[in-house]
Amino acid sequence: MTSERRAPTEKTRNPFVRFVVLLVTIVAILVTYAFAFQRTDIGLEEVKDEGRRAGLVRIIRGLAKPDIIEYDEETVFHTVDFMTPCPEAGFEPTPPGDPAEPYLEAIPQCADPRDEIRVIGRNFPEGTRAPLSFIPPSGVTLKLADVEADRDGMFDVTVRVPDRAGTEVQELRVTTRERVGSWQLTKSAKDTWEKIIETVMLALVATTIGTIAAIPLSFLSARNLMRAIRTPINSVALFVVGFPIGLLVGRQLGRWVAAVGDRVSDNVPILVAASLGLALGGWWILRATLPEEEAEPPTLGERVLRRLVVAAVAVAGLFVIGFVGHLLREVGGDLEGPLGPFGFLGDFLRVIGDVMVTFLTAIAAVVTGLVVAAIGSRMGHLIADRARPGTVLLARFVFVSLAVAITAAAIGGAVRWLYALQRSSNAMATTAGGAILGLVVGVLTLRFGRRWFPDRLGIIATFLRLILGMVGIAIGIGIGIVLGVAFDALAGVFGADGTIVAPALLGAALGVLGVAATRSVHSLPSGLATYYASRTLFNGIRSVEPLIMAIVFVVWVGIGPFAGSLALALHTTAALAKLYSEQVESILPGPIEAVTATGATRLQTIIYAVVPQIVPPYIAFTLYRWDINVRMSTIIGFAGGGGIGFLLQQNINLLQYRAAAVQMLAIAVVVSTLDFVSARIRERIV
Amino acid sequence: MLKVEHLTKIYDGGVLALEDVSFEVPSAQFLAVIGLSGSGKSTLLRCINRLIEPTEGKITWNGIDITAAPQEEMRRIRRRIGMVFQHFNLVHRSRVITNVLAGRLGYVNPAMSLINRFPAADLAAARAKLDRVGLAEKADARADELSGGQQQRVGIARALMQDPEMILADEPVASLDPVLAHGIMQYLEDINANDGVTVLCSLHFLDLVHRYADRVVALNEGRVVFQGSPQQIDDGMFKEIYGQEAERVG
Repeated sequence: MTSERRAPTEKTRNPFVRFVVLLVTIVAILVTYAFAFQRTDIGLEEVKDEGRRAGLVRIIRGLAKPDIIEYDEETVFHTVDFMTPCPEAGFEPTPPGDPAEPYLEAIPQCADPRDEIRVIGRNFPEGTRAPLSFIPPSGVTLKLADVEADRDGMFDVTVRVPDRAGTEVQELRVTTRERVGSWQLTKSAKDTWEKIIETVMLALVATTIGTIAAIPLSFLSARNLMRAIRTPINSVALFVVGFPIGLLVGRQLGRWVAAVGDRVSDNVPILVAASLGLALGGWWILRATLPEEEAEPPTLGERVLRRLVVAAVAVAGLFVIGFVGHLLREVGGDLEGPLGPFGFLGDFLRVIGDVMVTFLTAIAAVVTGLVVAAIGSRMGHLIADRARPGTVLLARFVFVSLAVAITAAAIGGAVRWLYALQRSSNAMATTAGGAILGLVVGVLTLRFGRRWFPDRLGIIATFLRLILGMVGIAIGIGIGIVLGVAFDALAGVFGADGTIVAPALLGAALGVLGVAATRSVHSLPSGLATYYASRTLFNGIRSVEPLIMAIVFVVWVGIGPFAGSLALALHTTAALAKLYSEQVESILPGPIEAVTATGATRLQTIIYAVVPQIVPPYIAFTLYRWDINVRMSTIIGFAGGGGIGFLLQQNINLLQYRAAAVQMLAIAVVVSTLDFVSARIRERIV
Repeated sequence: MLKVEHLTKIYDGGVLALEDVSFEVPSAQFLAVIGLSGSGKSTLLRCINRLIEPTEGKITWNGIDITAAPQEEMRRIRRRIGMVFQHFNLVHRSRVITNVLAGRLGYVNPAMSLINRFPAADLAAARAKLDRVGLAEKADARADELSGGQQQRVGIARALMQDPEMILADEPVASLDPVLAHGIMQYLEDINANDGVTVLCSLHFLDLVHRYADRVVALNEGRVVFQGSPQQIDDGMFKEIYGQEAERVG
């Protein structure tokens, strides 16, 4: 009871203090908004201007009348005979043929030049605006006035007869335009239809490519999946060493496969037979050699045999990619003509085949690189599990120096290419060396930072550690530059390639030093490292506006929707990978635990425990992304990335607001349709 | 024979979850692990199949050092240790049969399992295990359409798919009502008695311990405070395990 009563009294502050705090808060808020108003130029001076108001009204009225349908119109002349001056015998014009149709009447029926007469029109459609002209015998049109029919279809104007005296019968004429036939779509409606289809397809292609790329990446950037993964240092080092070796081997392999494919590139029967034979044969061999399940661990001989079989089948798979690529290219090209309006199907096959053939070498290189890297990683694991501590340490010295040297050389090569440097340049070596050393020092300082600023300090500790890490990186880069210059000079003396050899030497030395300094560390948090690396990459890509990406791609592949698709696909990949990975992070951990406990591999755990949980949000996000891409492609079009944006921008620049309204309407319709469809799909799947 | 020697687990935040825990479990025994919430029961069970890495100590099982096993070998050890969870840990959106087949993942060819293809023998076995826990007709239902008791039976069927020599049951009945609890415990008892599977089961209620367990290990704040037969737990021992203010309810 006492404690309950004391608690509120402690909290109650002096009313005056509360008042002051409130006052200060209000003043602070007011000052903030005042500043915000000033920075954003909020003011009504421009708004009050008449001209601006008229402009706004014009735009709104234009947008309110989308230029979708039109009628064919023809020019109709309504005339009445007239004479000036009046002939002796007087003048009686021909009376109107049908008094129910529009007709004109002049009062008086003839007059002297420069006299005033009344011209009356009857039976015109209400609101008709038309010019009233005087037509002398020469046939020229002398405009007298603009007339407008009132509610009864009548107008009554007083005009002055032109100074065109003559003896012949002349004519007063009202020229109207009348609709004939039924309505039809305007050109801007037709253009919009064509472009909105292009836009939807562009967004579809970009979303599909982005989704396919983002799904595997999203697992790499999910903290809950990656946190626990630690890899022995030797394993990481051998991975790094293995990848470039595999890359080179794979490139050779890919070129060889491509060369074989090129030799039979236009022989359809051989291509069909070879692809089918290889695919079926590979499948059969895999089924025959790999057991469906086994209770006992395989013997060494069995393992070697299986690896060889898998490698052989993988090479066969490359051949199949090559053959099928050529096949699709041939068949697609041949089908394009005969398919008539469906020729695009043939073209689609041709392009897919072209992609397969073109990227064959790259696929081979990357896949082989990853395979060799994985073999290296496996060897690292084996060393860590089986070898004696002395051997492990020795191996670490060798492999880590090698790995750091290769990384440094790669950075060196990249920097040289990027800055178009001379083969021997100390700017290069210093940059590479400094960057590497800086990172090493940064990581080390972060590590010690944990000791100096313990976790209980909370967010402040994290912040201080980060600052410390930055300072470490800066100091490291400084030292690295000095070291880099020294090594570069050394490399210069030996006449070696300064941009690659110097960083490699520096890297090897750093590797040795690093291993010596971290003997007690046995494994690296490779999972978290991957997580942070991929996160950083995605954030980098995401922060570049698709508009800017589109400009880059337009330079690369030319103006048109292809450039837009690529730009949006890249942006979509980064954005979806982030959204997806956050979904992965919010799944239930229980099923992962349960599936891991059955002895499943990490990949199996992902397929059986993670994937079923993330299907609904993945589909929802993909559809939402399609919607975003449709809207974004309007902006992409501004930069020449194809789609409806190009049309929209053109019309706005030409002040054709009615045409622009059609495009805006089309976008709105498509976006709402997509929203509706995606809501229905989500309902069904969740 | 499972032998736990001087097992200690300190979590990253510095929390001491297990301290110098040692005990032995002969094959085919039904061992109950009891203690208050937070006494380290779950940590102990998860250290045995290394879902949690022990900080110190040694666990040997049938002569194999589990704590020193490298990754690949650990997978092969895990597939002979079934695990049953308090919250069942089924994949809700997957079918029941898929959840049961997941118990086979340690054995099957990884490549084929990635496209959800299992050998015919495993499919038949999965249906047989479901039949054993009385859920044969639910094989194609989605896991989240099942009641709690049914989900736990699926969890047991999944553990059985592993052809386990040992089952770790982490409070398997704590989320169920007393009637369902006995049903689940009877399945575990049956597996223990008829299949000769060692069972390590953490439990809350002493009546369940008396009814089903051969032996008891009691933990309090990460330390073993009692080992022996359930009958040896008298009122004095009870207060030792559950604290001086505890009252017996079951």
